[in-house]
Amino acid sequence: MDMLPVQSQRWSLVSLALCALATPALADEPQGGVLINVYGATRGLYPIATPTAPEGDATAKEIAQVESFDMSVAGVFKVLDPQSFLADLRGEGLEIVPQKWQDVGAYGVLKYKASGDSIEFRLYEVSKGAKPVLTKTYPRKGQDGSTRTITHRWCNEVVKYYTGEPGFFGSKIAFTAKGKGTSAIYAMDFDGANAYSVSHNDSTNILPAWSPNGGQIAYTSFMRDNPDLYVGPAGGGRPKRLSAQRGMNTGASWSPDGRQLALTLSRDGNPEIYIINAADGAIVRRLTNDKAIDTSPAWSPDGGTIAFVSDRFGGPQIFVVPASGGAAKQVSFNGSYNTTPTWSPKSGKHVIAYTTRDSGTYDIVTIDLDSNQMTRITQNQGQNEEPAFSPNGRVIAFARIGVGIFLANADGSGSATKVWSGNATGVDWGPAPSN
Amino acid sequence: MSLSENQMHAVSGILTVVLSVALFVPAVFLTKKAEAHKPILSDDMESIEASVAYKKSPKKQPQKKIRAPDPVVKPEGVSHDDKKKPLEPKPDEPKPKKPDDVKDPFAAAGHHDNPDDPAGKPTEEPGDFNGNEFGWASETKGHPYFQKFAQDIHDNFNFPSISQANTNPVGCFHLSADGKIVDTTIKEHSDSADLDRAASDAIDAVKKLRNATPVPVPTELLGAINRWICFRFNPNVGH
Repeated sequence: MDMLPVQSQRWSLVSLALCALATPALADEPQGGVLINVYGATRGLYPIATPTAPEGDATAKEIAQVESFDMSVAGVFKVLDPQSFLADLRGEGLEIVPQKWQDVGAYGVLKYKASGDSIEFRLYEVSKGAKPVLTKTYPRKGQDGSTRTITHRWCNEVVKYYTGEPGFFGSKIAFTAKGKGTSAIYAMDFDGANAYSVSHNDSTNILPAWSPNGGQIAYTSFMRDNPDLYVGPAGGGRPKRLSAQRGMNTGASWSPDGRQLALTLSRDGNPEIYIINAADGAIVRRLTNDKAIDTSPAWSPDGGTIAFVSDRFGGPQIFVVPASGGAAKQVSFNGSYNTTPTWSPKSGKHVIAYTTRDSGTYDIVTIDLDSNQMTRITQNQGQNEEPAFSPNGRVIAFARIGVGIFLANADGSGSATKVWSGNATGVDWGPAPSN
Repeated sequence: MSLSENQMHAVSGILTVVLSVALFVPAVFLTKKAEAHKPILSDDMESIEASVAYKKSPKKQPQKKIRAPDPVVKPEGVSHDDKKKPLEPKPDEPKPKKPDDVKDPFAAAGHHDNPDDPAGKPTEEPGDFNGNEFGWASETKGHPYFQKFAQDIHDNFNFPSISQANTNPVGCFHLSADGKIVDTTIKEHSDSADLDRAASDAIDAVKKLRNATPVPVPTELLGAINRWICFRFNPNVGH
């Protein structure tokens, strides 16, 4: 088919315009002719294919499985069904025949080849032809040389290529696992693999909080009868009792620099928000002073603000207060029950996710404090609570009471993916892994 | 008998004096008589501007002035934009003739008024730009047939949210009279391979859709079937 000469400058003489929803509307009359503009594509997930390497051995299958899962929960990709693939995978090897992938709707294709001492990965953009746009080779040695770890690192590179943001594959999630009469602090890979106990005691342990560098976890434990705050190694070593004020020492949230923690203390009888030193637990300042219950502090990623829950105007609602002290301001107004706030780590954004009670069920929503735009993350899918953002802010982990821990896109798109089965609560997502 | 110049001056002077006296004396007499019969102003009258009088109305408390607003008159040819100049009145003179070097876009191809005629190959001669080389006459703008066409394209225009583009591709269709799509092409590429792909996918989908259930081209648009019908694919909302 012959192509006519491109006359892009002259095409600016456009006369017929259609709005975003294709509602027809006429633009100004051009000189001599008309052209139709179509505005507003359906913006969806990026279709990507993660075929299993033709070797088909255990390693090849594990890589494909990890790639497929990581891409599916990244918040930006739609992983295509391998059953639909038309390409001759054995014939292609590490290469691709673009038309074969275009025919199945793929925009991106991930290829790899594992050998005894390394794994080579390639990313293709189908519309850019048969030349890979990203290639990485990882040695398979040392602690970071496991197939899962290497594949997570590769997937982080893919996310960074497309979004410019670091991926969260390889990060960890801490949570409270409820047992009969006790509850323990657990940590696991973000995808539910390699879960292990952090608290190592038979008491009640609740509300874990990762330190900013991921090395420690703060949590409240009743191991000495009083709900005191402990800080222990994230790997599960002996914890240190950091705050043992009379009454509650609960709901800790680290400052971004890791030097302080905000928490709820009821040392004077009424639960209030305090800030303590991370080194010795000394009280730095008291943030709230109200006869109502103030609890669940969450430190903003820029360090300037602390969100918390207060019932000072009736039911529990989300408030924010300057971390340096000052007047509290209510930010949640939907319904009569809003709790467990957590901040999105996205730079320049002021978004809080929290648990809301809606017609008797508990769901996860987010609110953009700059625009007051609310986004629903869950609906009609059980009782959901305790949200936590992924390190890049694209995904939210939360607990579904009695069911497990789920991941969902922070923009409200798609459906949630279960990563851990059991009775869990108190979810907190650790920092991004170093790639 | 003739008067000298001096005699003429003397006679004219005497006549002037006599005429002046004749006019002045009656005027003085009539004025004095008029003043003697001057009417007395009554208490309920007031004088304004010395010569107009009217009946004085009873005194009232200060009243609020009620006045209908002036009707808004939109001057013809002036927009709501203060800076916009009024439209020039149409000249009475006949329109100037089209220069010889401007081609009539439909002259060469001819109109396909008969829907049974085959569509033929689209014109691909570049020619001078007048906007019609890719489309159809201006009287078809906004026609429901093309609006529905654009709606079909929009419904099949999918672009990944993480993909970016700074320019927009233009894709074109060649229709036959029965509404089937004879040919398609991408006339103009964008700076994004993904967006070109999205446009191409949308074109393929619309071609499949419209060839499965063709909608005949309305009679008044049959002139367009010899031309490429083009769409600019802008993934962003707004204009």
